[in-house]
Amino acid sequence: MKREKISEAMGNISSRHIKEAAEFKVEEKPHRSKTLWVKWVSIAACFCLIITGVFAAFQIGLFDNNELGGANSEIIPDIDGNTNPDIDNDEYNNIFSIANGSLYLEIYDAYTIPNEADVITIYLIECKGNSEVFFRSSNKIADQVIRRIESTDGKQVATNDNGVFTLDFLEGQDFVYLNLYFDAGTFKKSVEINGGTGGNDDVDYDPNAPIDEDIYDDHASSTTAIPATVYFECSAILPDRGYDEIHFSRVLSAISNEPKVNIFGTTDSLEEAVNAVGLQALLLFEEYTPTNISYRKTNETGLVRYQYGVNATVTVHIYEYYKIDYTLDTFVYSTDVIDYDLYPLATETAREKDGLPYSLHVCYKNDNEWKSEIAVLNYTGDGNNIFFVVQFDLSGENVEQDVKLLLEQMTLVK
Amino acid sequence: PLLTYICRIVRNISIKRYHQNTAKKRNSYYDVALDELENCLPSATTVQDEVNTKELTELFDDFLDSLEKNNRIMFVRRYWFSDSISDIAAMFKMNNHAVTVRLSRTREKLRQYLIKKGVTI
Repeated sequence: MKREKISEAMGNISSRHIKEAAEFKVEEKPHRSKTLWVKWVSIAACFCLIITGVFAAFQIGLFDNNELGGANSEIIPDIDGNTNPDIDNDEYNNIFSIANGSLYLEIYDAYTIPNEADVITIYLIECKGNSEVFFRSSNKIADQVIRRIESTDGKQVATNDNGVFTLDFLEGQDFVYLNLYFDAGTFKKSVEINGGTGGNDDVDYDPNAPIDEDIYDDHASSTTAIPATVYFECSAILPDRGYDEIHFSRVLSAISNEPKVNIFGTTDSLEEAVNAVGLQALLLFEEYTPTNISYRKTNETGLVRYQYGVNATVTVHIYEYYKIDYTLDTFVYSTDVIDYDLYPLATETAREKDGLPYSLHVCYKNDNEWKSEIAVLNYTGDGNNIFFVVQFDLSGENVEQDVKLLLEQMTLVK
Repeated sequence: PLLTYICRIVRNISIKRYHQNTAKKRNSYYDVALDELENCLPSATTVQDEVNTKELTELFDDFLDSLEKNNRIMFVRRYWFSDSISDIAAMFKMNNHAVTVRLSRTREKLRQYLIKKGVTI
């Protein structure tokens, strides 16, 4: 009925529209030839610009035999003994500017470095006035992993106090870049940038304080928002789960309430790609509104693969995972936060349990230290949205089933 | 007036002939175009909610008047003349993708327009 009605209604539209469409011809744009003198003046102007540019470049020493600091900079061998710092200009996308303030770089474990030592990233930091940069790790592993942090003037960052690296900058120092080296076989760390530019008085750094995951609160407490983006990344290598590598990253605008999320990776099939994207987004975000899902077929490794990506506008929910002491009959949770990064393995649709609707996410934690399977239990109801994590030993052969079985037998104790 | 009159006659005869010939088959240009249009329009939950054909025609006319000229012509060529995407692309000297995108945006505009008018079909 709907079709007939549309067809009939469309068929009866005004004759003026039909006439317009029936008589339509594309209007040819008149070809305008440029006047000859305009062309020659343009060429001459370009030539002058090139000459001026080259002259200026020589004046400022751009062609001196040094990549970063000009003629007076000393070339310092890097960790591998190379005198030419192996800096990929493409990695300079992490640029931060701070003035009379402080910048915190917090380091999280993400995945194990498979073969060789790695430079995780290079941060270029523009410091104006008195500024400080702090590195801190989310656990005790990082201080064993980071071997050196260096700046462009050749200074190796010396301070390493229980995993907290402090870099003091002199006033007037311009750019400093930081290399973070990680040993093979250790955890590769993602680095999260927190910061504020409220002045030195606002520096309130306690290395023993629990890590504040909520970056928005951090920035809200700053007197001035810094033009920084926050880059968060984690990866998982799960061959037994069918994933060669799941790589998740998100780039959050530090002062935006609606950050853009990018999820990308490679897989052997489109279905797998879409599932992976959906699964991760489902787990990690409270609201998931994909605006664009795309994939690209690649053949770079000899295998036909799909590269997938999704851009989504989301409301980020910062999960807090609590350690849960449990028995088969009951479980209680403590307020100790045990971890933040989880990788999805399977999900189960919402169902009623303990009088509250809840959904179960069984996740795999790719962490050599914990060797654990983790289940996330999400209770929603009564205006609450509570997430619990249960950690299990991986020694069992059928952990996923065990997790589900245990959760079915658990009772929520408020 | 003669041109549009002839066009209307040709269209009506073509549609009638098409229905006679194809019975339950689908996938002609006409059906594909109609599917596109049908899918973008809001559905009524009850019979009482439905707008009648005459009102719908008036709304289509008003909507077309609100469109930019090329988009309007493209829309009419697609959903009145049942031209293929390729034909429209050739007519406008554009590629198929560009035409598809434009039509898709126009359909979305139509949908929003009808929703705004509180119309369901």
